Amino acid sequence: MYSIHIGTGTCGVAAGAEHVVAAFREQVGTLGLAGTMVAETGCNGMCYAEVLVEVKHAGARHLYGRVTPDRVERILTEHVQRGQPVREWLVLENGQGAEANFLARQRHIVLRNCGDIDPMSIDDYLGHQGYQALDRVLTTMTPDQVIELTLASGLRGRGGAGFSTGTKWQLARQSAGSIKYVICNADEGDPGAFMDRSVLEGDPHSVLEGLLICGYAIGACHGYVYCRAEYPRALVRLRRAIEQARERGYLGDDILGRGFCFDVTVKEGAGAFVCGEETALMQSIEGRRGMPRLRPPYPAVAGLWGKPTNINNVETFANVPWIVLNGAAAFAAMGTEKSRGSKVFALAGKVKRSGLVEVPTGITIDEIVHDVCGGIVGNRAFKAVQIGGPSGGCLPASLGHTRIDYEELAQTGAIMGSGGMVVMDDTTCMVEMARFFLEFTQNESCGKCTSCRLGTLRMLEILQRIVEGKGEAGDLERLQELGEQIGATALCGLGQTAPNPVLTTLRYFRDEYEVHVRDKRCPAHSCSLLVNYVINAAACTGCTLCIKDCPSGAISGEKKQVHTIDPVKCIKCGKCITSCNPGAIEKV
Amino acid sequence: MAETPTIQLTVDGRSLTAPAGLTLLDVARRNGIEIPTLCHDPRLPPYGSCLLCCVEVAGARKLLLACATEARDGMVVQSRNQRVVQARKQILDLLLSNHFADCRGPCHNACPAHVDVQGYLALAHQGKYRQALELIRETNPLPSVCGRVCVRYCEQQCRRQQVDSAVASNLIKRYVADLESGNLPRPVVPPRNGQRVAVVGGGPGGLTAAYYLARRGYDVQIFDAHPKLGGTLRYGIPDYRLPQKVLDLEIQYILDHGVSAQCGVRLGQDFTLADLKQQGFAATFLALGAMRAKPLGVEGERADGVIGGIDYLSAVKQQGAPEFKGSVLTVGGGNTAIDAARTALRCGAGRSTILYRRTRDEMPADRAEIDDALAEGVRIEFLVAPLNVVVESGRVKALRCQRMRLGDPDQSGRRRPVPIAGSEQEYSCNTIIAAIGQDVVLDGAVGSTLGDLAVSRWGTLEVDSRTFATNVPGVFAAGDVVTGPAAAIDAIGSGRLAALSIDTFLQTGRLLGQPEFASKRTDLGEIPHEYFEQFEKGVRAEATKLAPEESVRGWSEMDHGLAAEQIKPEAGRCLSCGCSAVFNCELKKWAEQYQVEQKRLAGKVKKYKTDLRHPLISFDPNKCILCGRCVRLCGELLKVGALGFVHRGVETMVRPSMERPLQETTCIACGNCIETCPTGAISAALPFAKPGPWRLQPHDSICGYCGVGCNIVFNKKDADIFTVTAGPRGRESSNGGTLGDLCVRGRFGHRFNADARRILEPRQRAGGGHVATTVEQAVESAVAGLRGVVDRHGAGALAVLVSPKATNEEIELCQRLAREALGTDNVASLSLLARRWDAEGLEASLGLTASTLPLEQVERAQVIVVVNADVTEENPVLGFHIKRAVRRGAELFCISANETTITAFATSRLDARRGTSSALLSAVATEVLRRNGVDTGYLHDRTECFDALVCALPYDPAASAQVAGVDRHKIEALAQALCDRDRRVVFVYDDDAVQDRSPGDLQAIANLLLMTGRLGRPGQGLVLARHHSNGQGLIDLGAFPGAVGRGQALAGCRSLPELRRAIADGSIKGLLVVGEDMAADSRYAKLVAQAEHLVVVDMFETPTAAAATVVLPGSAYAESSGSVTSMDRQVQAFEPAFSPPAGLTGFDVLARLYACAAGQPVPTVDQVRAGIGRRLPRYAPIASIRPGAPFRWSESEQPGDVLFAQRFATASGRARFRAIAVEEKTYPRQKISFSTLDALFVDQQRRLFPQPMA
Repeated sequence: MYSIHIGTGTCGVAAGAEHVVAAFREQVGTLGLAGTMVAETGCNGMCYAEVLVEVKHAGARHLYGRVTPDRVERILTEHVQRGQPVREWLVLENGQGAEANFLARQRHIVLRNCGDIDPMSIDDYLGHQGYQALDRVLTTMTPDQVIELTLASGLRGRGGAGFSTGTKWQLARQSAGSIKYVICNADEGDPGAFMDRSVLEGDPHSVLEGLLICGYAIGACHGYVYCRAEYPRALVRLRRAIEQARERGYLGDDILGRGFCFDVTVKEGAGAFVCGEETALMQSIEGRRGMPRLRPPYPAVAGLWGKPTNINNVETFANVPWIVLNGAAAFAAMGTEKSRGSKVFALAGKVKRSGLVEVPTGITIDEIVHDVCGGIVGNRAFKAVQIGGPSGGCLPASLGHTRIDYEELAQTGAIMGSGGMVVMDDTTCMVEMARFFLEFTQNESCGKCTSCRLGTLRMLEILQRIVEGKGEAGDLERLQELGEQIGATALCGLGQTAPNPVLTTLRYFRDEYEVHVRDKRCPAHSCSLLVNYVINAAACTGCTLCIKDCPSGAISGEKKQVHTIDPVKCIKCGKCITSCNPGAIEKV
Repeated sequence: MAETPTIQLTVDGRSLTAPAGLTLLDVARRNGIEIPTLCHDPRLPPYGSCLLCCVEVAGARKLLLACATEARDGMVVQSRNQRVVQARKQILDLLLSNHFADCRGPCHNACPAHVDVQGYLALAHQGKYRQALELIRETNPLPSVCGRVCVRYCEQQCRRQQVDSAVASNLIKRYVADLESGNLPRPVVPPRNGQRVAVVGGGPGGLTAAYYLARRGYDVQIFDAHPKLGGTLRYGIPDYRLPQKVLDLEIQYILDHGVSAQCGVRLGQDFTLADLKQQGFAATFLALGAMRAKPLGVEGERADGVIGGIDYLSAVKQQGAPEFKGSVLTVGGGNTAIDAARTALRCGAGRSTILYRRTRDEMPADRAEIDDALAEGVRIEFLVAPLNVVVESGRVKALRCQRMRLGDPDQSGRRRPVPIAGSEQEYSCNTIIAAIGQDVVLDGAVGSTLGDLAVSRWGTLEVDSRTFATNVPGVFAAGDVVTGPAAAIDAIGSGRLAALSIDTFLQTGRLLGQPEFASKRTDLGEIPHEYFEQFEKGVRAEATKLAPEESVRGWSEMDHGLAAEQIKPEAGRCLSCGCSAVFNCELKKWAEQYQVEQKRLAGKVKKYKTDLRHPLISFDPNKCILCGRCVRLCGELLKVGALGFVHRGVETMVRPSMERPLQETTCIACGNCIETCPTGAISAALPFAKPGPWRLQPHDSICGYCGVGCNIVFNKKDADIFTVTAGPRGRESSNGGTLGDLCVRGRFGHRFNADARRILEPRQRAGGGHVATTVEQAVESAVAGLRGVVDRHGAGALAVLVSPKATNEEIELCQRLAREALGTDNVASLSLLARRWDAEGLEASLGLTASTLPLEQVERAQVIVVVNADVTEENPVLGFHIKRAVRRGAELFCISANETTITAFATSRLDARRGTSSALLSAVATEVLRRNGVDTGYLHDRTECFDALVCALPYDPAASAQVAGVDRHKIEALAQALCDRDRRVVFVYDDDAVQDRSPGDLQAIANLLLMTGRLGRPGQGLVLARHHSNGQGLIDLGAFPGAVGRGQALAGCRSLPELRRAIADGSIKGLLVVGEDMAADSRYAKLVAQAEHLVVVDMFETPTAAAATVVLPGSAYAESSGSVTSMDRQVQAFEPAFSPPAGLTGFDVLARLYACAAGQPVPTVDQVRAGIGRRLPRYAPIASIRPGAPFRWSESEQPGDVLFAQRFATASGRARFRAIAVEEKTYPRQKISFSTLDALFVDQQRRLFPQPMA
């Protein structure tokens, strides 16, 4: 019997997966393939190749990429009816094929079920060892043993700071009080980061299971999942999973007859980035203004509603059932001395294969960029990578040998963060890049503390004038000074790390800043106000296409004659470059 | 109690020991280490928004916040190393980069002497000219002079120009100075500090320095080369601009401060700097001026008839006016040129012409002076420069000149004159006056034996710009000799600053000059034009002047200044740009200390409109630094929650909840937000059109409203210019500092002191009305009238009624007057007559009726039972305590027929029907009994007659519950809470409530507290809430029939009900009423009208006063010495903050009445206190009481916090249970106000001032 699994995570849907699903359902009926199952699943990480469709049959697995509704009929007729896979559309055939490199270096623990199972089906999850870890914990382990296991695995918080998960649980367990809470932070707000979303969309039960195990370990009876409202699909699947878990007795009173009571509430965030910060998140759940508060007291002592609270993110929890089932040693066997296991990264930017990758820690940046992701689009030069989201740091290609390890990354000025990774080529202006990320964090400042509220604003203003060619002597020193002081004084992680993109680019790409300030020039030809468009006379064929496309009438020239651009009229929109076939228009 | 462990840590290299559990900030403060903070309020948990308290802790990567970091053993802390200082400076730079606000108006910033222009205009606007002058004189000792000759930088910068034209502040200064200078009291020469300072040069700079040095106790001697003091003011300014007598008057006032002067002695000629040192002058101030005319620098200028401008003006002053004939040419464009040209006309010149090488726009002379000169006939030739003097027989014949045109701007920004070739021209003349500038003369100063004074390349003395110190130690210099020729106000400004610097140098041996920090809106951006559009356009007041044709004929003053009626409207044009918090802004303080540069990190700045919608509280978001203190105080500490944050990031603002006007929120207008605000963002709206600000002097006092007895501070300038802030009581107290709140009445309700309706003089009835009389006459008439009543009807027909807001001393005088002098026992207060006090007191049960524990302990209670008390309304500060106790986890039970603000906080509200609370309390007692909640050991040791109670208790609590209409479970829950012996229980009962009470309430509460063993134990017991500030003192001192001298043969009623009846049925014929308005109560209005003799002592024209035979003025606490007893038995003394407008206090009046009636000498406050102490052993400490050192009386003779700790005040020393008769009865809803103050003002306060009073 054939089963067809279509990736309908947000990335799939964006590529048209819902139409593909409809086409399969329709065609299966039309073609009378009654025994063929059409199911939805999450994303296996190959977002660049969506819509992904996997055809499973008798242990064989064929993964089609970039499927459109008009390809559905042929897949069904050739592959399902005749047993002849459409090889030209395959990305993977039983793990082999053109894109096999993408998976070769990966190690899927968190993503173990993503793209494989139907997230709306608890049975599918149960069929993949689902809730076996919970069962084992409740039947054979004491809470202290669970904590010991977590400690032994070396699991560290995947939300960014990398605090030891076992230690955190231990602190919460040791806190006095009969009422405790456990919170799953699914308020993934970094631009370009979508690990948590993908896990919730692809495998929500594994997160719930992790949450339950944590609740058991610390002695909590109630959990919250704080998920951003901008993840509607994840919320639907999560809520469905909770309902199913309740129906099957994995949530509620006396779970699995072991006397353990636990239930979960889903709380939707209203879109404030700062609410991903643990203390602000708890304020938000309590119905207060989402603003970080001073620590101590730490949440483990006084968290939600003033009670001891443990908070971890989606990815951390998703690791937990695997560790229980496979043992701490198996987890600890991966990675470096201090950073164990695997880490999911969201790859974006100029890499050929963008999407989600889960790699063992200890792998180098170069390996991720070149081996896993296939290098840079257009084979241009790999220039830099922004690691850790907007509060992470920007590392130059020369540091590509840096290993994915909390401590090693921190030494470079970057952070592991939640796992955003934006790869840049030589057309990216580092000043503009820093400005972009700072603009994001500045917009998202909650306004409580002076350094973040006003300091990041002033930094942004300076960057703004630098990219506009209005930089002044002393600006770089001011940026450095402001950045360092904000890092040293701001109240919460958002503020403390906000200057990181600026500080790291100042450290690794200072010359680029200096050229902007001193010469009013952008070496990457990216800052629109600092770029001039000229026509290379040798290459221009006089086709007049650019003249037609120019919205400001800045280009003139007769047919078959070399055209010219009037720099006064030019508004630097760049349309001409796209329209010029021979590539005669250059930025200088 | 276990001893708190101590820790050791190192701060800035100092090893400190501290108890564990404190924050670094606490430890630092305890050890005198100053760590700045803006968002920390010790009453609130740490917040961490300003970040200013950051410190470096060894081992921590980040800087840590001292307000939130617990000090731990072995910590190594740097509280002010370079990293920390840098971080703090940056934080302040950031805060101020978005602080679109002015500390001071631009006038103040522009004035070199920093005269508080806004302040004196505001005083002048109120007609307080003397105070205005005193304020000006704080920084400028020559106001009459400046009022005439000042260049008015203030007016040049006046922001009113963007509405219409500058405020004529200088003319107002001249007006108040001319009017009041002659009336200033002769100065008291301050005690000399033994150090001598020499001032060389008696011009404006030298005189100013001498003045401020003398005021600081220095022995100052001025040396001047001229025959008289005054320098340029005397010898450089013609009389028609500055009459000599004006200058003389102000110089004399300076000399009157003990300054001596030696004129006609020249430095270098008659003495040297070394001589001065030798003569024992510890410092020398050089203010030599710049009084040598600059030569024209052209050929022929040594000829006869060529004279320097300043030389000419000086000669006119010293030798009289020379006779001029023909044409006089004056070269120059400054004020000296104008003065010389106008003086020349007065010396007889046929024609006086000024030659100036640029155009009128570039002329440095004052605009008005140029206009006056032209009006008098002076001609001005522009764009002309001299080439050479044409000389004939050694005498001037003409001036050959060249025409100029304007070229490119030069360094001064003015366009440079460029010669036009071939445009030479001769101006024939008889005299040429060279007024192109003056030079400094340093002969005698430079090269002296003290070493070489450094000289700049412009030939002026070089000094440090902040300290005015020259390179020679002990020698300072300022004024023209440093800057070159400048305005008088420049010399005055630097003269004062130099004096301060000299003082610092002589006192500390160090040179320090810390410039004042001033935030300036214009440094950050443009002021939106909408701001200016809110002001109505007006016309600037102009001075009256002599007609030019008249003025030019003589030397009399041309400009006559403003007329009286012009002052108020002109001062009213001031926009009050400066900040109301300028004198106590914490942001400004730290900005000064960390040398903030407001523009360093300037960028986008937020601009907001000021919210003036609330009548008492103004809110300027521009000044808000988002420290959140107001929001947290209002929400977390006061549990009012009227303020909150809106928006995010840099757009974040503090706004009233739901962004409504503050008065439409839950705001109770307590104004505690104003006090916690570290900047001027939230401020009290003073009821003046021009509210200063002024530097206010604190004066500790006691609030006169309710019985909480809050300590308050009058921050005052004048009888009506003051604000009220919370007093020191408990502000930073060791128990967490939870006191120090005020309510709306305490903060805003004291303005009645300055009300126009005060009774200012004694009056007595004559014919159909009142006539004014003397105090002596009024007192005699009053006493004679009362005696007459005694003669006619006996002493029992007299009554003395005294307000529960009177002081203990006044109440004592009243009761002595009644009992000793008049022989009647009829003494009481309307507030006592209004309630059935005789039935409800605890004398028979406990021996005393009083609160048994201090109010601040209410916060520590675990169970609070509020019975029939609308505390948040009547005693808001007690309400704050209760709310905070709830926040700490206390259970609150409210027994109340009405919903009040406090019932919203209740764990359980027992909504007993009106008049049934004692039935309900009996049901609770029965329930306690049933649950075996009785403390038998306590019963045995300390009480008696428990059986009497048990017999009377209803054995079926359900029946009682039914009477009260309260759910039985609620009764059980309360009983259960009382049964828990480990919990601290406090009952709060409103002893002044008229509605919502039933007879026997108080006894029922006492029974409950006794049976559960809670009276006499620390931290629990009974609080009797009282509406009036001295309600407890009234009872303690026995202001009710039968209280004193039981068994003594006194005429009168035996009890309060009897007295009530006697008053109502008219058997009382003569009355002394002190501070109460009987006529306001319909039951007594008849007596007011029919009394044979009614003596009223009151502050205000009440209907009772209107009906009186004799009226005498009373006074407020703020105007008298006295003491009051708060509801928790704390006796607190105070001294007057203001003088009573009638010239004598209520105490004075009563003392005279007593003396006259008793045939005794007039007693003093101390004598009355001594009398109280002798009569009442509990009150013995009152004999030596002083402000700030209160005592809390106890059942024994020793003061104590807990009443009945040892024994009860009954004869047996045991508390006696008393059964109460439970009845169901309803009571009137209407509250009755007994106090004049309340009647007149409290209600008005509750409505909030509808109109500013000024």
